[in-house]
Amino acid sequence: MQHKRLRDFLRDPVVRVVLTVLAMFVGLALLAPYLAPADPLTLNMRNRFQPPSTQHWLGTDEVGRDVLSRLLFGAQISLSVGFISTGIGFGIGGALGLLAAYFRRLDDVIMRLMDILLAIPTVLLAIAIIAALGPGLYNLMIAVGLGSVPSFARLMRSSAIRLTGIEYVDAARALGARDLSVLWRAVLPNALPPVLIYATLSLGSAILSAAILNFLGLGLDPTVPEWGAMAAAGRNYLRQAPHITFVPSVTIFIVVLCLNLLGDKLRDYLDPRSK
Amino acid sequence: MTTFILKRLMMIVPVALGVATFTFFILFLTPGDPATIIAGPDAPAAVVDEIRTSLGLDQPVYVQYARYLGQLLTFDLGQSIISKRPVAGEISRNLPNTFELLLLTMLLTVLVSLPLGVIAALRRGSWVDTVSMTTALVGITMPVFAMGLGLIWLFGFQLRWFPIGGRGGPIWTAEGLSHAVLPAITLASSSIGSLARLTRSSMLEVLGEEYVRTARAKGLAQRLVVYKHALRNAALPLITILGLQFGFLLGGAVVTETVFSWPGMGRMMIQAILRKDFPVVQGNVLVFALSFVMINLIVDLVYALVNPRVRYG
Repeated sequence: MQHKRLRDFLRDPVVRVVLTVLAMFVGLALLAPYLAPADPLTLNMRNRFQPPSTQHWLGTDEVGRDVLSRLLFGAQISLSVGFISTGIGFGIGGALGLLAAYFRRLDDVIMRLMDILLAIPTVLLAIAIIAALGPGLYNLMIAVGLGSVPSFARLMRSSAIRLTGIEYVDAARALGARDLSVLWRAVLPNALPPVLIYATLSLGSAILSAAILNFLGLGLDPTVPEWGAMAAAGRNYLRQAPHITFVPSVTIFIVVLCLNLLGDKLRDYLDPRSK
Repeated sequence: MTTFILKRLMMIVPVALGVATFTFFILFLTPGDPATIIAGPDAPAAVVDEIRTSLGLDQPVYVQYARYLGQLLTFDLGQSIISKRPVAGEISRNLPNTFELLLLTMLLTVLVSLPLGVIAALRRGSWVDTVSMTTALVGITMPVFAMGLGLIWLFGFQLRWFPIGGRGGPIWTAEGLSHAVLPAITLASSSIGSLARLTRSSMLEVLGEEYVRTARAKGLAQRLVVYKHALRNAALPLITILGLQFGFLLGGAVVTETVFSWPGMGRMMIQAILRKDFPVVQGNVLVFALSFVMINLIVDLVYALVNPRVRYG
């Protein structure tokens, strides 16, 4: 039954297209140093605002850098920020949610703290954190990651709390297993599916949030090739060279769309009732 | 109902206190000494010390924290480092502009997403359903700044229908409205998508209920069945989502205001972060978060008002 559903999932045409596109982006990111036709940082003021052509497939930007090369190197940054910050949110939020569900004495403390952070909209929370930490790649990852901690914590708690009264968890306890071992072996694997779906969806949001922070000029140095920062750089030249803004914007759109579609399909697969 | 309102009102006190604590400690996380930042990089040590003492930054953290909370009770959010004017005054000048934009956005969201969701649910599986749900998905996925810049390019530069930035006055004037149209569409695009999808699924659920079948069986017109019996019940979860969307819109407003140079709180906050004007950042985060808390309170009260099960449950 499990195998048949997994096969159906992988045979779904939408899943196939989405996974292919995402794999392609990951491949392009990894191979960026070999595939990029030009150096993403080299300025060439005589070559500014070139529209897409055979020489520069996606044109050049406001200081004459090759947009395709910047896009490829940008994939490395945007995807790694997406993965690592989702990992931070998933790790910290998941652990807090699990502890809150299992140790009832911690529940109130942790969840009231999360309620307070949830009172601040996610993007604003990330903005507030990066305002405090200052710009930089790691701070960007931390800000976006911490911004998603409350949602992960809340979801993991609600998913895990259903399991705390269930027989196999009680049985593990009665057999003398230690709390951490019960949490790790009995509660976590069964509480994970909805949190994994959320993680897929939140990968898209993390890429978006990072792009927004960079667009606002709060994340990375503007010379670093990152999709949001690239879109922001073209903003003042929208009339004469719209491709500088639209190429990275459309790329973000495609990647986030694929991740959202994958999350939707994963939900149908792991929780057929939601279909 | 009174007990419910009182209970709900009491609940915002700890959240508000928590948010205030969070915004206070943001300043402590910040690398660098605020007194040096205020004085400037070349200021002599004596000047920096004087600023530190005058702002009370030489006091222990708990004293500063207590004083900060005390100031908040009198709506004193401190002074801007750059303009030297009170932060509360600056916020109260920009806050109405942001709310004006959010109000127009909410109106647009409800007016577009409800019919879109209802039509999609009634013609499930048809091309209308596919087109409206695809549009909704595009709206959710498109980065806010990309949507804004796309609209500026198309309707501002190519077609020249609308101005490309700034605020043209109150939105009830023609000039004001023409300036607000593009920012409001930008901001609404993502919430229209989410709300339309939710309206569709909520309607589909309700349309299968027995009371809808009964209404149909007794020969009521389709319009009455849909709008009087189904939509009223389907709208309940949507009220909650609309409240949550508001928080999302607050985040989006920061970007939209920056793209369209809209003189609101979001743009003010980003400028303050870039200029390291921390009291303004603190004040903005606090006011943003508290407005979200208040909106959710209002949403809960409206929900209780229209759904008796919450009040008496």
